[in-house]
Amino acid sequence: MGASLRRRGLQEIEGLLRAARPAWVLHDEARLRAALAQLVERFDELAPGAASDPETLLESVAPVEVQHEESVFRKNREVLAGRFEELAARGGRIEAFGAARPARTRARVVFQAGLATGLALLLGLGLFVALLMRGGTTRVAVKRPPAHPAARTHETAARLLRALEQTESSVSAAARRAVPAGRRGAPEPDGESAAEKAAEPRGPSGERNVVPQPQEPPAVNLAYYTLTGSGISLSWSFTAGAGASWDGVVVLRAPSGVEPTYPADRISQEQSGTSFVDSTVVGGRSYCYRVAVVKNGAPVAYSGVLIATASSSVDLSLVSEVRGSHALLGWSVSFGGLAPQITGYTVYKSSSGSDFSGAASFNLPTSARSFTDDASPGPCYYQVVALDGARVLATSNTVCVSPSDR
Amino acid sequence: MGSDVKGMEFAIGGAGTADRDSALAREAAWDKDAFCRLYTSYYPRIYSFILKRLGNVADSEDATSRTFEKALRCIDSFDPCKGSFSSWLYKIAINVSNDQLKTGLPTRVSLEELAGALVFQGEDSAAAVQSFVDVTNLIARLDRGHQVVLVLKYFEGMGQEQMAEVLECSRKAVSMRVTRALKSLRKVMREEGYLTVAGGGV
Repeated sequence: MGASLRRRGLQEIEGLLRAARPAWVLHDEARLRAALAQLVERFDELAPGAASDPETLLESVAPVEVQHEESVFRKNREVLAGRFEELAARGGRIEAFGAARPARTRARVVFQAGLATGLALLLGLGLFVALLMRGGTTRVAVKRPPAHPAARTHETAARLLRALEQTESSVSAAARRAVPAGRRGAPEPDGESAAEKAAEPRGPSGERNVVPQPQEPPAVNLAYYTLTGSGISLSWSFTAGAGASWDGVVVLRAPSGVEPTYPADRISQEQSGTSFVDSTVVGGRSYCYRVAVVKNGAPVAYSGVLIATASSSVDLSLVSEVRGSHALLGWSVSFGGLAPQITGYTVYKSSSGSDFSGAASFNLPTSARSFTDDASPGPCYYQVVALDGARVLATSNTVCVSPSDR
Repeated sequence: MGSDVKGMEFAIGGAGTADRDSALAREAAWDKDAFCRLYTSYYPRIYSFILKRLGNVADSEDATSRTFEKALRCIDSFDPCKGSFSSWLYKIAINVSNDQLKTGLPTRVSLEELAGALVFQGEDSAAAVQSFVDVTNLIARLDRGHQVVLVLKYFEGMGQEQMAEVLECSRKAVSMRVTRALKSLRKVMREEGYLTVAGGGV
C-alpha cells in the first residue's frame, strides 16, 4: 500500500498520523477495578450461562419424573446442601460451576429432544398405518430405550459435587496464599514456585472462583507473548494508580521454573517502550520472563511472571549404506521456527525395528553427521536422536541394515 | 526517561493467543473468573482505542465499561470460527463508541484531558499532545467509517489482517478504505489550512 499512497500523494498524511500516535495510554487502575466490580456484581443478571445460586442449581437437578434410585439422589442432594452450608460458614461463596450445563442450553436440549421424539413418533405412526393399509405383515423391531432421566440427573449431581469440591479446595488454597503484600516474592511455605503460580489461572484477586476484592491489586497479572521469526516478542502496558516516579523498564529472563530476579537475570537495557524482542532464545526451550520497573538502578515494581516457549520443529532424516562389512549411517538436520541448540546425537542400534528401549547406544558430538558400525550377523535397525542436554529434540526415521545388503 | 507516572502498577499485555482467549470467552458465559481475566487483559487496549476516538476520559471509561457489559451479555454469540476474541471485542467497542458519538455533543478533543492520559516518546511531550489533539480533531470531522479505519491503523497499529476481521471485509477492501480515509483527511486538512493545495505540509 506504501507505493499506492506515494502515488496518490498521501504518504505525508500517513507520516503525520504515525508521528501523532501516542506511545501508550495510561488508565486509572482504581476505576478499572471499580467498573469490574460493578460488572461482577451484576454477573448473574448479565452472563447468559450464569447459575451461581446453589438453591437454583439444586432445584434445576430435582428429579421430577424419577421413581427408582431416588434415595441415591436424595442422599447426593443432602450432601450437596451440607457442603454449601459448610462452605458458607467458612466465608466462601460458590461463584461458578464450570462443569454444570448452563440453564439456557439445557432448556434448548430438552426442547430439541422433545421435538425429535415427537417427529419420530409421527413418522412411526404413519409407517404403521401405511403397512396396515397394504395388508402386509408387520415386523416390529424393539429399539433400545433412551437413557432414563435418572441417569442424567445423577450425572448432573455428580458434576455439581466435583465442582463444589474444586471450589472448596480453591477457598482453602486462597486462605493459604493470603500472605501480606510485603511478603510478595518471598518463597511460599507450601513450596509452590512462582512459575507455577504464574501459570495457574487466577482472577484479579488472585483466587479462583472467589469474588474479586477491588481494593487488592492483583498479585499476578495476565501475560502475553508472540513468537516472531527472530525470537520471543514480549509486550506490556502500564496502568496508573497512586504515585511513583521511575526511570525505565528492564526485561528479566530465567530458565523455565525459576523466578527471574533483578539484576542477575536482566537481558535488556533500561527502556521506555512497551515491547521487547528476545532474539537470544533457543528453539524448543521455555523461559520465565518478568519486567521490572527501575528507579535509580533499583527495581520498584515487577510484572507477573510469563512463561514462554520458543517453538521449534526439528526434522532428522537418516539414511544407511553398506560398505564392505560396515554399516554407514548418515543424517541431515533441518528445523523450522527458532533455531534449536543441539548438544549431541545418540545412535541407537537394535535387533528389533520397533523397540529401542534396551538398544545399544552411541553418543556423538554436535558436529557428527555420520556413524560407522561393524557388521552384525543379523539384520540391525538404527535410529538417531538429536539432544538438547537431556531433552530429546527429534527422533529420526528407522533404517534397517541386513546381511543381504552387504 | 524520568517521567512521573502516578502509581504505576505493571501488567504485561498485548496480543494474546487467540485459542486461549477463545476458550476463556466460552467459559466467561458462566465463570466470573474467566470473565475477570478477559476484562483485565483487554481493558487497557479497548480503553485506549475508545479514548483515541472520543478524546474524553470520563466518556471513554463509561464506553469501555459498556463495551464489556455488552460483550458479557452476548458472549454466547462469539464464534471463534469467525475471528479472534480481540476482533470481536473491537467490533463491540466500535459500535459503542459510535453510539456515544451519536448521542453526545460533537467531539472536540481536549488538550487538558489527554495531557494526563497519553504518554509520547520524545522529550517535548506538550507538543506531542498538541499534535495528537490537532490530528484527532481533524479525524473527528470525517465520517465514522473513516474515523474507525484511521484510528485502528495508525493509532492502534493494527495490521491489515486483523483490520479485515474487525471491519468484516477483505484485506483489499481494508486497503481501499484506508486510502479513501486518508484522502478525506487530506481534504479536511486542506480546508483547515494544514496543507497547501499541492499537498505540501504547512
